[in-house]
Amino acid sequence: MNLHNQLDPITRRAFCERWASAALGVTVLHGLGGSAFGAEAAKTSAAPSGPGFGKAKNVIFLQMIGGMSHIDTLDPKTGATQGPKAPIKTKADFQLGGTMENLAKQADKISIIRSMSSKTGVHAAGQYVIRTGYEQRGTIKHPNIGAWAQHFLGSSHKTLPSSVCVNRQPQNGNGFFPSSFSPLPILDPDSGLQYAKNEASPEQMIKRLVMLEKLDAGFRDRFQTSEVKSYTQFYDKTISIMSSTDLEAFHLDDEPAALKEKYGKGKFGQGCLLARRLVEKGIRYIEVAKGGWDMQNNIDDGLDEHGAELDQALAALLEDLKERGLLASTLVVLCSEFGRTPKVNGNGGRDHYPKVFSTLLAGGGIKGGYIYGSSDKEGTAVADKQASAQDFLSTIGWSLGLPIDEVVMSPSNRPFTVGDKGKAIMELFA
Amino acid sequence: MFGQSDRQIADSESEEGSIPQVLMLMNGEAQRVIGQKDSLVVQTATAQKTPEQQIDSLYLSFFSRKPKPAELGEAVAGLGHGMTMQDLTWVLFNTREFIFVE
Repeated sequence: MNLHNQLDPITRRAFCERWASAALGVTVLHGLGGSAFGAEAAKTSAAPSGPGFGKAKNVIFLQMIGGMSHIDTLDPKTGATQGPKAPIKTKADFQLGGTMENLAKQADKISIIRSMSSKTGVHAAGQYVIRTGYEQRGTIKHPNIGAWAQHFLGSSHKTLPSSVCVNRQPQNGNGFFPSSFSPLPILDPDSGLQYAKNEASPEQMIKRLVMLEKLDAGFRDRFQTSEVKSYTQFYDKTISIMSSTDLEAFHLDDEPAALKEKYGKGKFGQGCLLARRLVEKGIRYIEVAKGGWDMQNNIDDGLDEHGAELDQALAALLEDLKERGLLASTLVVLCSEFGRTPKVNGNGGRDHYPKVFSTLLAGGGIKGGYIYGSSDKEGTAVADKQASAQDFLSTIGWSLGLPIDEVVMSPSNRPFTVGDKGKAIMELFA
Repeated sequence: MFGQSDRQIADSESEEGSIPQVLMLMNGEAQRVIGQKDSLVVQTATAQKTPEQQIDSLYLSFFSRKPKPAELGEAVAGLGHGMTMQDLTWVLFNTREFIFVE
């Protein structure tokens, strides 16, 4: 039976069989390392090579929603630009914003790009670009890096999805790739994956699935619409998830209370902890979203709440990954759709500012304690080495070992690449 | 819902993630309620005398139609091989026909 070697595509019948064998314990399906598939796939294609290429087996993509103030976090300034808190020293030879007290102690693990620049100052459009590398179009949806990785490397796990998004809806993360590439949404990390278990016994469940297969065949054959096909993909994936022996990946309650506390008990902190658990189980790509960054008013209060939440969670994540020996193979990135104005406005806040902002990368072959590019003294413009969302995403793709120059045609025959022809920033890699 | 594409966009296979929706259909609250012995669907079906009539009743409840001969045959055979009303309501609830049409 060769179905163990094929994950995409797999027939419905094979799924039933696999579910049956898994549930009844007839064969050991889950002992085989999921990441082996990816490694094999990468070897067979004529992939490029160079510093950092393919170092990351997993990516944790932290997206700050609302426009994170770069000046108060990753690119601190003094004088009129400074904001509520003075810059602080770190473990590396650069400073961070005053709110980043915990991250400062992990600064030897991170690289920061301080010369990001984007054309859009609108939230949704900016979020789309930083996540996909493409501008929103009315006629197509573009994939996130997780879907690109699944396209090039195959599935990362035998039964669970290869991509998960935490604290957000999937928002077409699969883009023009099959809907089975869509990230599995976990809207509340504490609740995990709801309804993953059925009360029926495995024997009962097999009977049901076989019957469903029989009674459903007529309708499925008659109505081969994309909706029914798409649903069928989700349906097959769902059965696979229900049969998974790795479902405890979603159980945050299994984590020690002290560690949960260390990440921070909010949705973002717990989301980061969940991401680490998922990485351990071989889920390749995890997005964790955090809102609250649109600090037009009273940025002081906003930073005390949201800045502190980010600081605590990110620092805990980096430390935890390092301690478990996972940081070398896990790329952690932090980004936002744009930065915020150097000038504090009349309401004590900062406004949208795409002209210059910062992103952070760590692990997955990235240098520790390194700054790439810079903004000018007041933080008004890029001073050196301008970088785009496309460059940022290409760098992530490079770290994952994706052929970022390879053109992939969408179903309507339009050409696309990982990061839309951006340049992977080689200086970031150790 | 249910992986249906946004009809405005040619190159988009699906809208929101449907795995949580499918899990809910398979294992969620609605499933539990419908499959209970005293649910209207199950009560109506079990009140029928023969297995054939019971399947007819289930099909009328779910699809407002009678089963085709092949469907009736499969379902009756299922009842004869240890499947319960709860099992069959689960199956019919999760058919594409029910999800997309009803």
